[in-house]
Amino acid sequence: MENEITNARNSFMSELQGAKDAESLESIRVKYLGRKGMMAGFMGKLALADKEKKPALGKELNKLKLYIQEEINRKKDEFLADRDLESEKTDITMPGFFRESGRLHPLTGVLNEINDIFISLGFQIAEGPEIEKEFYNFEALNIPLEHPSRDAFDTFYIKGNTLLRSHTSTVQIRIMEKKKPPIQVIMPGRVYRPDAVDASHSFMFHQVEGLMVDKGIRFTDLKGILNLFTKRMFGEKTMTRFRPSFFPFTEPSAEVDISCIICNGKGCRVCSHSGWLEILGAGMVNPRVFEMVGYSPRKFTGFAFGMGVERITMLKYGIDDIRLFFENDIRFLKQF
Amino acid sequence: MKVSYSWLKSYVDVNIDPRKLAHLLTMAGINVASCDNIEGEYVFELEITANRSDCLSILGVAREAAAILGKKLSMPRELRIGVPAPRKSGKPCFRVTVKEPDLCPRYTARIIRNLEVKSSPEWLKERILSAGLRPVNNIVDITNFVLLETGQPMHAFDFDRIKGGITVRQALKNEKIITIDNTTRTCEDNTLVIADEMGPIAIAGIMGGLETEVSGMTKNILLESAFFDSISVRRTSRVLGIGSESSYRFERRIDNGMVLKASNRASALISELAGGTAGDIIDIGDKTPYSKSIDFNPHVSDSLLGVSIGKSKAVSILKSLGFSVKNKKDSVKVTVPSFRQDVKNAIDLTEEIARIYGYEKIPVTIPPIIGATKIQDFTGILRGTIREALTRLGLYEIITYSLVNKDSVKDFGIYPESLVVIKNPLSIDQEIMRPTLMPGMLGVISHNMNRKAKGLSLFEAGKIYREDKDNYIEEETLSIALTGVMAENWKGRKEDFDFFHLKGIFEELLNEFAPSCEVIFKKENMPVLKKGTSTGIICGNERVGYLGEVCEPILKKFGIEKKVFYGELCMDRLCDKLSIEKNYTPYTRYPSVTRDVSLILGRDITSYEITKIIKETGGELVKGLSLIDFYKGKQIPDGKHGLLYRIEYRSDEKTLEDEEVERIHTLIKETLRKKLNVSFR
Repeated sequence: MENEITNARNSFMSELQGAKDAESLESIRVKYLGRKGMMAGFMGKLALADKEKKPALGKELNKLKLYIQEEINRKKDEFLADRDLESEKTDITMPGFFRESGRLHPLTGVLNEINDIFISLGFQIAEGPEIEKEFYNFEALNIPLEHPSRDAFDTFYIKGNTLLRSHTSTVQIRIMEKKKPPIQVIMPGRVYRPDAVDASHSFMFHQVEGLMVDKGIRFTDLKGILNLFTKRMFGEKTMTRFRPSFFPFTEPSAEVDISCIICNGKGCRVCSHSGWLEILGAGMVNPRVFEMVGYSPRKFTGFAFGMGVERITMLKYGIDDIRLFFENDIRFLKQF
Repeated sequence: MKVSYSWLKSYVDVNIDPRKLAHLLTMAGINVASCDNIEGEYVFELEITANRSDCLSILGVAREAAAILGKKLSMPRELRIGVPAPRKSGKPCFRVTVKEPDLCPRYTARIIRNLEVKSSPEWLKERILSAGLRPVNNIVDITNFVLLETGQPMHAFDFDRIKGGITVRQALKNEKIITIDNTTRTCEDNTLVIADEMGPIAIAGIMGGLETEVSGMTKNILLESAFFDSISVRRTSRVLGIGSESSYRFERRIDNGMVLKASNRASALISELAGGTAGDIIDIGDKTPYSKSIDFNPHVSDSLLGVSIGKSKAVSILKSLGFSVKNKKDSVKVTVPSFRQDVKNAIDLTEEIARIYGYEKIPVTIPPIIGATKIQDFTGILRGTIREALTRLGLYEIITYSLVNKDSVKDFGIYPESLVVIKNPLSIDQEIMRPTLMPGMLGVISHNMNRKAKGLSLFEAGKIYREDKDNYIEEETLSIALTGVMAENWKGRKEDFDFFHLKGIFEELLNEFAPSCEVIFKKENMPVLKKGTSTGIICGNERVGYLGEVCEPILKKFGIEKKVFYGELCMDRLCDKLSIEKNYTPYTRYPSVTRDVSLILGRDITSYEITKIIKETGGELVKGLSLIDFYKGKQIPDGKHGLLYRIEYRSDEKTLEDEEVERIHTLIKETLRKKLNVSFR
């Protein structure tokens, strides 16, 4: 019987080789594994074999059966794969099909990013009205009437002392009027200035204002927060530089530059060959602002900062004309 | 302001690379915007902040440089503190009257006789040129030189052309003067002028008159050095639309301590370069310079900055900037020099110390998080989530100006009284604040269609504005528009956007964010929309928005040829109905059975009526209902159309038997037939 088994294996191997299609394979399967096939026959014979030979023969038979099964399956898969290729010559280079989804405006995208960074640093988000009283835009922020420091804050007026806010610093006052420290908040929003429109000026743009007030808030904290922000926004290698400056509502005040993200600080057209880009205004809240909202400047200190969303977005994406944001050309919108 | 390195060097012994000095000045708050080498001479272009009027002078900048470098400042003799004015040598020979002491707190004048007006020496011309001015003659150049050197504006009149004495007064309405730029100026009645008996000979602090200009023929001059009120000069300069080196400095407030000294300095230079005899000084008005004494605690200052600069370093910085300091027990008493009128409080001194010490040397710390746990209010989160959802639905976000042309909302049916009007727009496109997002949206569609866009699906989430009896209302609003080709690809057919695509977006949005609210779309009649599709969106009994096809006249106004489907939602009104909370509802294991019902009905019967009956009749067991087909054509009688609904029946308690489904399905059909008079196919 051992010889028969070996012969069966050999004949199976050659028949398998000769199988041309799924059909002939099936007949091979029936011949060997079928209910009346060769293996079934062997099993019948096994019952009649010598008692001591039985276990070894049984083992042999099982091995063969397994082998045949595996080989047939393998061949079957081959045929299936071949048939797919044969019957459907799919041109997989044809374009894929999908339902196009839209995109957020780049300003929204960048604003979301700014918000998320500050949220992760513990800031809350607050908003205030765009149509404001003169008081909130100027006096409360220590910007006196008819002072040259107002030149930077030319304003659209509506009626009487109602105007369109020219900066989001107005919201600082509204928040401090409502709430006692601790305060840790950012205030995004639209602002308006009657500037003639060109590639770098717009009469409407977006700002994000920040304010942190508590006992013992220091200038070093301001530096720390803004350092973290610029690194997260523009990349780990970004350097931050604080330059003394002037804003009526902060003292000491600083202009914050980052190392040019275009040339890495080597100097290029974008940074006017200085290696630095002005990105933020900041400072410690002027005690006179605290007095305006009824906080004791002896008790509380704090910092404030403000940045332009358009400017940051332009730098981030290499956009060279601010008007593109408001033109909303679909070829522009699709890129973000 | 332009400052040449060599001029700066004449007051302070700087011997470092000019570019290095530029950097140091910038990092101390005197921003050097550029440092150019012009024919061997380095010239700094400075951007002086509005508070630092003292640095609108070469001396002021030199003082900063000296403080930064730890050097001494050397002043010309006439400008040094304690140098007395030249002794008076007799009674005044000329009459000066100041009628407006508030607008002109101090006025000095000096007559210099028998001088020779000629071209300036080379060194003076170079100085004038380096500041970007044009040399004229020795007298004019000296007044400009002293202005640049000290920041004190000066003016020289041709004395012989002045008729009688002079008066500093407000102009009469429509009084005229020809200024030295050869332009006739018409004064307002609050314009401050210097006038002789014939009329104005100078606009105070801004520009002199042509009539009394110093020329080659001039023999005697009247040298004016005065203090004009900053607000008055600023107003006049704005009203008349003229600015000058003088007005720029007056607007930022000059140093009263310099008025006389600068006059002495100019006199000395004139006698050196033009000869002549200087007469007595006429000095009218307030002679007290700005002075302020501040108690300053270096310890408090250090703790605000978060760095230990220490008392002695702080004191030495203040002294180097011209402050005088007296030691007290814990604090110091600081006297502010007259040229630093911007310094009023201890905090201002902290800034002085910090900027000279160097912001860069101040370390970095991270404050503890003190913010509350609630990060953003509900509306903010919602706005973000809805924006994301809309992009998933295939819409691109746009952002348009909140100021629009008044004409763009004509015929929109908006009350003119509710418009928020801008008093001082720069163009007609900024006349009003948008009362709807529609003009912005249509503008964007028009822009893109003109540039060959085939189809657009856009949204904007922004505010609209209105006035309600002096209350200004800003409402968060969402607009959505679809136009042109929706899809054109090899897999499907070309399809244009229509009303139902837009409606679907609104349905999906409300379904996702207001699942518990019943939403009804109701026919209405908005003037901006076509009658057939003008639809109001009612959510929880409140009208929260509208949609429809934009009517022809409006499209025409924006130059759009394709159909536009437009809708708005008032987010503020929707807000309390929306939710971003999600709840899991367990679903049953029992299978569902679907049955179709094909109806033929008159056009006056609405889908809303049909679905309402199906749901009411089927009750709990109707778990799903969708419109599968809509058809018109040969098989359907005229004036009617066919609708095919698919109903999904399921029970939460058991497997439905066929008979039971059949019974309900038949009941539904019977009810439809009876109530709506429909037939079946």
